[in-house]
Amino acid sequence: MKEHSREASVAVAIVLLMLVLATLAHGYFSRENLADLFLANMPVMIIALGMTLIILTGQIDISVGSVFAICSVVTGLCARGGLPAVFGLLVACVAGAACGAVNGGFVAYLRVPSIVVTLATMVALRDTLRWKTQGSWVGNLPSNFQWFGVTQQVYTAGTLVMVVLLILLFVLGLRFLRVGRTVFATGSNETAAQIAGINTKRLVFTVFTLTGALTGLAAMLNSVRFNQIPSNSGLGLEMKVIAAVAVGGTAITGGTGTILGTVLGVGLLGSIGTALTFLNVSAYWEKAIQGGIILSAIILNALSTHHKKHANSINALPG
Amino acid sequence: MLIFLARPTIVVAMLVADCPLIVRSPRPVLAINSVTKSFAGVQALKGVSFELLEGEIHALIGENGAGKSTLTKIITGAVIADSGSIEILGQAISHNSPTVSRSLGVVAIYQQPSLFPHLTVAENIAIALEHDGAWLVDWQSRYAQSTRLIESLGAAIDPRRLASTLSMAEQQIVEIAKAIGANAKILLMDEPTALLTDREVENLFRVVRRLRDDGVGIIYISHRLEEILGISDRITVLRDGETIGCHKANEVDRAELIQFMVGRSIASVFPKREVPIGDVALEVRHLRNDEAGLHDISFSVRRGEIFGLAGLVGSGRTELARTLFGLTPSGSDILLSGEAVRINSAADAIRLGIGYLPEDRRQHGVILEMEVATNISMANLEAVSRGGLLDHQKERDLASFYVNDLRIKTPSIFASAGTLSGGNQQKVALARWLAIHPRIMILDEPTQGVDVGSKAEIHELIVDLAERGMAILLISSELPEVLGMSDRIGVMHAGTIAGILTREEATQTKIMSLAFGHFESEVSSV
Repeated sequence: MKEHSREASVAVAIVLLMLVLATLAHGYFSRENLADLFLANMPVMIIALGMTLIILTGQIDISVGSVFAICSVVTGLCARGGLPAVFGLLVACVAGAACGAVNGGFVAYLRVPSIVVTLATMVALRDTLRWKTQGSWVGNLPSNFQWFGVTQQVYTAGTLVMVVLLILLFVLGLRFLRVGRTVFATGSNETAAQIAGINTKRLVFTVFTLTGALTGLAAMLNSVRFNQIPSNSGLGLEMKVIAAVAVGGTAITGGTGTILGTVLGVGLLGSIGTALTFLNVSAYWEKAIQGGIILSAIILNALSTHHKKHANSINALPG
Repeated sequence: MLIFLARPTIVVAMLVADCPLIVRSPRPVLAINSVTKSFAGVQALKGVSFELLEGEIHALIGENGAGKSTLTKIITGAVIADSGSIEILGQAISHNSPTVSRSLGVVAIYQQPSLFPHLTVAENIAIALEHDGAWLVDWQSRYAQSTRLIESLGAAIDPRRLASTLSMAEQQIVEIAKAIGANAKILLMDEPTALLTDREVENLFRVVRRLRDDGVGIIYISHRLEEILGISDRITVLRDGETIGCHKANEVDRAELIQFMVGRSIASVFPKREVPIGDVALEVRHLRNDEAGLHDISFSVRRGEIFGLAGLVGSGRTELARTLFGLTPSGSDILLSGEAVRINSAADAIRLGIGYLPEDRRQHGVILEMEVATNISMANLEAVSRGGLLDHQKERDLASFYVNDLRIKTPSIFASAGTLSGGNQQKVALARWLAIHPRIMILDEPTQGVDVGSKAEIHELIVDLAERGMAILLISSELPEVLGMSDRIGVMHAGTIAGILTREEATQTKIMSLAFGHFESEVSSV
């Protein structure tokens, strides 16, 4: 099917990379490295699920890195306050959802462009956090905080299951929930969607709030990997997330894209850094190669959109 | 001397090429001969001829879609004619373009002035006039130039004011000043008074007459017949892409002009059938919607009835449709089968059984990127769900049903709507609304930009729907369509219904008369 050509090309790129690694870098596929790789990319993966929805509706959220930092610190404070881990998880998700709701409220109901709103919250949230924490890390965490008090293996396996379930939930939700359908309609043509009776404002508000909650979840799951929580975590996270979604074939203008593409996008961009180390290539190349991948993805999108526009314009003349 | 000759009061008329020409007249600044133009197989202009003299105000009138805007685009070079000739200032133009026409002194001014709002009057004028790249700006000379140009129009506007602080009329005057500064020989004014108050119109006309007396040829397009009769020297009437006639303004009256504009016979046959008319399905009383510019609208539509809604572009037809459908809520009651309801969103309207086929099919009717099937199910996802989840089999069945029922020509129900022809896209849009099983269907220009075959099918379908007991509100700019399809016709003018005509009493002339602002009492005398 031609609409899956994008996913296919990212998948091919991943397979090629894996083949190179399999022949040249044997240690790459060791269990430890794969587990590390998964954990390092897990926050990006979880947030990218929400970001895919946001971008599908034609919006963008560049504040996720700052929200991630806030939720991380909140998680640590909860743990230090003696709250059980489950409760900390809940608080992180609620804090993230609240930040997302602020973004979504401005975008959906006050019609402020999402790039402006989330740029503002990105700066405001991070600097508020810096001021509150004075740059200090959250330490003195209880001993059962790291790895949720279980072994690293159990934690990793549990997180993997959770991420896989989330991915499945999003894939199926977009396919089988009515709200999933309205995401594509809204992103393709908001006015037309409104005329078809879709509450596009509520939808936009919801996807921002959901992404906030996912960011909280990701922050919690990530924080427990360490015994201290930096107050500046998540710097540049928004760019990694957006890049992964874009590489996965979701049109930055909204309306088309898949969760599968996003998963592959996260996989491709996330595996390159370590791959370079294993291949003895200078790590300085990482950003350049990632940039190249993003650029080619965007060019591919532009070309295919241009092509479609052209095909459509045959019927576009007035009568 | 020239000014003196151009005055219509002292000229003697003679007939040349079916157009009264002015004897010892100044030379023509624009001559258009048998120009044709078609878009995607639709003939917009079928041989139009038009002549503009220097020092003349020549009005161009016609119904919606008569070809006025295509003709103006051909003059400005925005559109290239398929055949025919254009002469500007006696020079045959083989390849017109906006650059060519501008360099010869053609300037167009539209209803909506196109000034840069955050720049001053002087800067706006300078941008239009200064083309040689001086590095430094001589503000004094800019201000002096603006003042000189604006004063030459008998107006006074401080050149230091920002364009955004000017009234609509002042903006028009600045536009004209730009035109004079550019040494315009031909000034094209497209509905320049549409947004002006009466006093502003008077001021604008003083400026326009002064320009005319200075020898500029002015093409004046407007829907306001009084204005046209008051200001123009000659009037050319277009109808269905043809020049119907050219008349001296002091030799015709309103009624004649309307007659010229509509005087065609109804060519196509409409599949209208008499169907039993049932109870009142939709009624509004003194509906007012300030946001949409509507006031005092009262009418009702019965089950099985096709209620046509005619009127000029901008008279408020689409706004009325959007109000009834909840897209621009009015906050007042709408009676559905006698029951008062508030419709505040499209979702409300859909729940109450109202469907709305919007005017702009490609922008609003269908989602071009999405599949035919998902387009059809979009307004009624409940119908293709089971236990809250979408049932893709049900969706495919629904889509296949309507693709067969409406004979939608598509490679498959999974083809994206954008790949279909205009007529088939429109059927997909219609199918979406039929899928909600509406009691009331609002159709806004359902056959606009649709090929002849699909058009007939859509007409047939509309009659079918009425027969099944649906109440139909049919908005159309095409008079034969409104006349051929409707049981009753409401004619809108300036945000209200100027009159309602029954099928028996409605004629093109009566409709146009109402649309141009004559109220019902006057219609009988036409």
